[in-house]
Amino acid sequence: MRISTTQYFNKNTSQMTDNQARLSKLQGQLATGNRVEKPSDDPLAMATALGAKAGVKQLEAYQSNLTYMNNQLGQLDDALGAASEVMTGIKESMIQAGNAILSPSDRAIIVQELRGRMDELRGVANRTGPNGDYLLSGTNSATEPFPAGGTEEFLSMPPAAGAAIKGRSVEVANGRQMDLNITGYQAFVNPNTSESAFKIMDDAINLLANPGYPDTVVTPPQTLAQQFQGKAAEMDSVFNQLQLSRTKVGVRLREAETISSINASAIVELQRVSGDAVGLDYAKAISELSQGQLQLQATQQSFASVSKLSLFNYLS
Amino acid sequence: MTNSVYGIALSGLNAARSGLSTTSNNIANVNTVGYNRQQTIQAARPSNSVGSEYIGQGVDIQTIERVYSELVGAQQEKATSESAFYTAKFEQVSRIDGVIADEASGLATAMSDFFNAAQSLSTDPADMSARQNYLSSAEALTSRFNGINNVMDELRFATDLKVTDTVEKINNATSQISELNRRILAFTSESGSKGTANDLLDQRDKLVIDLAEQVQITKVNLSDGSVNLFMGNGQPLVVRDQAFDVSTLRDPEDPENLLVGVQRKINGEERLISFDSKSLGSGALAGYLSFRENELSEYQNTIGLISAQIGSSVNTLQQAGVDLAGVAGGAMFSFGSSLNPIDDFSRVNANAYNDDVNPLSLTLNSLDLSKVTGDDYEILIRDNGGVPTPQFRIAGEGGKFVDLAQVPAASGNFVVPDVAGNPVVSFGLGVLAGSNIGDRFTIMPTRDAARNMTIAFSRPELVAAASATDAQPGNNENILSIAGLQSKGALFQNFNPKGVSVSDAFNQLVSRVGNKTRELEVASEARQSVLGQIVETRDALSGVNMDEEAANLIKYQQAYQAAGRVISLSKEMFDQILGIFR
Repeated sequence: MRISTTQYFNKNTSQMTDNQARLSKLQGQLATGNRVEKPSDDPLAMATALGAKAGVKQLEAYQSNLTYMNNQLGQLDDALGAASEVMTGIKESMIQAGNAILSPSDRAIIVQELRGRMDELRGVANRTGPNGDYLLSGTNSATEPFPAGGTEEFLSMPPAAGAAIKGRSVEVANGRQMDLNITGYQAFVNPNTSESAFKIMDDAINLLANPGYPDTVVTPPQTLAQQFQGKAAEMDSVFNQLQLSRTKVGVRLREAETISSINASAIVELQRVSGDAVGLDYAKAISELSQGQLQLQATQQSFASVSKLSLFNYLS
Repeated sequence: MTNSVYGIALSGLNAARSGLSTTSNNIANVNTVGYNRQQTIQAARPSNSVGSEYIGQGVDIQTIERVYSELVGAQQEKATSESAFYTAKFEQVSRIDGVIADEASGLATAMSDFFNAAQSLSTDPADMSARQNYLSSAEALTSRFNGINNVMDELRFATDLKVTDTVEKINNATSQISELNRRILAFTSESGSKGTANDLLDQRDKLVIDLAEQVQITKVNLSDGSVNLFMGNGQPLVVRDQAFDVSTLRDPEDPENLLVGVQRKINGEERLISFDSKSLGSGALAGYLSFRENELSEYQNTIGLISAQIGSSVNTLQQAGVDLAGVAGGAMFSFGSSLNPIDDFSRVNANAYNDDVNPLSLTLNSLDLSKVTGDDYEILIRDNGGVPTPQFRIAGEGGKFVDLAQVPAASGNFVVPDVAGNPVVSFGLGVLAGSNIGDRFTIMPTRDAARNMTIAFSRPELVAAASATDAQPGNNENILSIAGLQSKGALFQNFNPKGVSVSDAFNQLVSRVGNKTRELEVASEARQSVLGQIVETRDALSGVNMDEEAANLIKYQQAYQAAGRVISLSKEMFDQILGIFR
């Protein structure tokens, strides 16, 4: 076959540039660790990887929501734990106060103690998180749940309105929301009478402080002592309510942990999917690279030696 | 007798000298693009009859011909046009391919970040830094949309430049070709058809190839040596020594687009008749136009659709919720402040040739983003037995125009349906007159959304994170709903009521762009290799081979030396004869 001189040169240079382009692409892949850099490199793999990466990002958002949730529930757990300690003390003091042989001065001491404990309990119920939000106010996070000198109702609202206050839910997995809060109503209000622990304590303290206590004749049909016992029983219900809230928090914390580990393994799986789709097989790429280098070198060498051959070399 | 030996030797000397000239010309032009090697065709002179014998009388140079194949030339023109078409289209679409899925500048990350910021804000809706983060990620998202749209706008503009450039190249080539035609015609008539103007032919063939790169052409070789050239749609470019110029014109349907066309008189009115990509066939120009008409518009509309969907759904929720101060929220994304809000997303172009006596207006009434596709729509006012009636078809597909239904009946609200028959866009028209028959409009439902998208406020407390039913700073219901938009199937509900989410819609677009780029790359490589083979065939046939020329040099040099030797021999013979009489 006849071949022209330009054709020979063109063919060789185009072979060399093709080789170089392949090598440069491989080098780019090795540098980034990605086999697929543009959608056209592998449209299906790119779409798969984009979907997987978006999935990872979404899961990471859920994970960060869960971290927030863990903090929040941890703080609630602390607060409710502290509250139940205070409540245990209150219960003891109330049992002590119910003892009929106490002298008025002994009672006065107990009344003092109960007042102190009530303030302590209020302090716990009104705890704020690190950002200044009240832990137990639900969505009304800027309002103190049980202000001192207030109506002693949750958020100073009528009981029905207080009961309607919700906590905040956050998304922790696709379509799965979890409640972040326990409200003061849930933890500190007697569900039967809709009275708060503070109202009950206030009443109880007033009964104890009544100079006529225990008074077996006045205020039929009940004596002051009987009424006080009633208040003590109401406080027990609140205590149970508080324990129930603590359990709820514990259950949620456990659930959060489970969801978090499910999310974590889903992240690993999606990262694997994305890596498999667009990631680079280094061994393969490196062997292709050295093969390409060899090829280019051979082309260059053969071109350099063959292109020297010319009949003109022998004309003189 | 010596006389004839002299003559014969001289003719040999001449022939060898011509051969040497041709050879050195070949050597000189070894790197000239478009040069076809030449060879001297020599033939023995008619013999003289001496008695019963014939004695040869030497050699004549018949012609210096170029080694050229018309067939290979025609194949090269066709392959050049096809390769240029796919290469041009591939080049353009690969610009989008390069940016659309890029981690840093692509949309996917910005969308994820925006919805993640909403998630993060939902944990602590009163936190100012979380609000600021959400607002900033919304701003980043709008600038991504603007950025991607900008790439598309630039590609549209690049097509305009290409059109201008092509028109210049076409006119340049055709005027040179017509001039070469003229000179070839003159040469042929002067030299009495003996010999050919090889260099003029080479130049012309090269120009034809250059022209074929821009537009597909049909070449007709005339017996007088001239060529006539026509475009794929039959438009003449060169007829003998006359060139027909093409010019640029603004697309009457879209003033952003530049088209190629010719000046024609229609009904006594000078009008530019444009060529669309389909009628042009192949060539770089058709590639650019086809990319703009099909892929570019579809991709830009889809990006617009995604931005419009995110913007309007977030705005709807914003307006349903309350901000940190407990005040009803306002729109967070803005697409402009048109009197008709749909115009912020959509574009309506009235054809430049519409009737100016009774200018007809088209006002969009509604737009269903859940049903919008990447299509644009053409509206035509047709003559329905004297009654002007609007019709529509999907732009760029060249299908049949279909009458538009009015919903409710006779309300003047014309409804454009999608392929499944769902209403997509509805519009009203001004007062129709008989003179409006033939008027045209183009509706681009989401063309401007990504371009116009901006953030409407910069104060983080204005984010409506709380639900209006519980207007408390700690309420996150509204921002939770916004975060949920990420996976809500709000788009492309035409065939599947479950629809496609904004992020999936974007992934589908990425996959479409990738597949299209891949397809064009393969097509362009295939056409290039076809062209490469043809060029190789041409080079193998017509290119100069230096070794061959070196051998020819030796051959003609030896012939020259031998002929010279014959002359000196014949002189010796003559001297010998003279010596007899001495």
